[in-house]
Amino acid sequence: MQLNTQTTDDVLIIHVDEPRIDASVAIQFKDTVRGLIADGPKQVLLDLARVDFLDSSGLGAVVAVMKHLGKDRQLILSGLTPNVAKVFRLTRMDRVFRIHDSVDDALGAPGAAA
Amino acid sequence: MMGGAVSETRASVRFPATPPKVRECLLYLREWLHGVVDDVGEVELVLAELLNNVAEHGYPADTGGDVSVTLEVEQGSLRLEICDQGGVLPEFLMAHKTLPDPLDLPEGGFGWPLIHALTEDISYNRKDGVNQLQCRMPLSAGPEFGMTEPV
Repeated sequence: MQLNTQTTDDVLIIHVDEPRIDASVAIQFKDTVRGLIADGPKQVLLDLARVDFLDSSGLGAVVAVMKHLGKDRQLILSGLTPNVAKVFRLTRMDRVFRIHDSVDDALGAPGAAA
Repeated sequence: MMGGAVSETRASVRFPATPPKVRECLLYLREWLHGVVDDVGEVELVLAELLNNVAEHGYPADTGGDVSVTLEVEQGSLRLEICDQGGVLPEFLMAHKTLPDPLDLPEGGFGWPLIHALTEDISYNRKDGVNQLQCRMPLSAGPEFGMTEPV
C-alpha cells in the first residue's frame, strides 16, 4: 500500500499512490490510513489523483476513514479521476464529502488551510 | 498471468474467486473492453461488484472456488455472464436496489444498487449446483441505459 504524506498549513495530505482501491486492498487501505491519521492536524486531505479505479469496497474504506476522524476533524478529498468521481456520484456519497479538483485547489479553498 | 478465450465479439475467463484474482481478471479484460465499449470503467465497476460478491460470499471463507466470466457483444449491447458453483444467491440480496442513505455514512450496501443502476435485464438461474447470473450493459456512452428516446 503506497501512501505518501506531507503536512502543509495544518493539513495532513495523504497522496494515494495506488492505481486501484478495490476489494483486494480495501482493509489494508483503511488500516494504513487510520495509522497515518492517529494524531495530527484537524484536516486530512486524501489526494486520489492517481487512483483510477474504486469499487464499493474502496468507497466503504474511504467512508470508514471519515468516520474514524470523528466530528472534530474533517476528511477532504481531491483529484477524483472520472471513474472514481462516478462511483461517488452514483452512490450520492459526493453529497457528504468535501471534494476539490486538486490539492492546490483544496488548500486554496476558504477554510481549508486557515 | 491470467488466460482466457478471446475473439472479436466474445471474451471469457475462469479463475479462483478471490479478491486479488478478481483484480487480475479485470485488468486482463480491460484491453478487450477498450475495443468494444465506450465506458470501460462502468463495465469494470459492474464486474468488480458481481465478482467480489462471489469472492466474498459465494464460497466458504477463503476456499476460492472457480468463477467464470463471459462477455459477449450481442444485439447491440454487451452481455455479462458470471457462473460459479458456490452457495445459492439469496434473492433478497439481488433485489436490493435502494442505495443506503449517504447521511448515515454507510460503509457498505452499495454493490447491488450500483449493479442495478448500470445494467439491464438482470437474471439469476441456479441449475445443477451452478449459479448463473446475467445482465446487459450498453456498448456506447450516451443517455442513461433504457432511457433512449424512441426514433
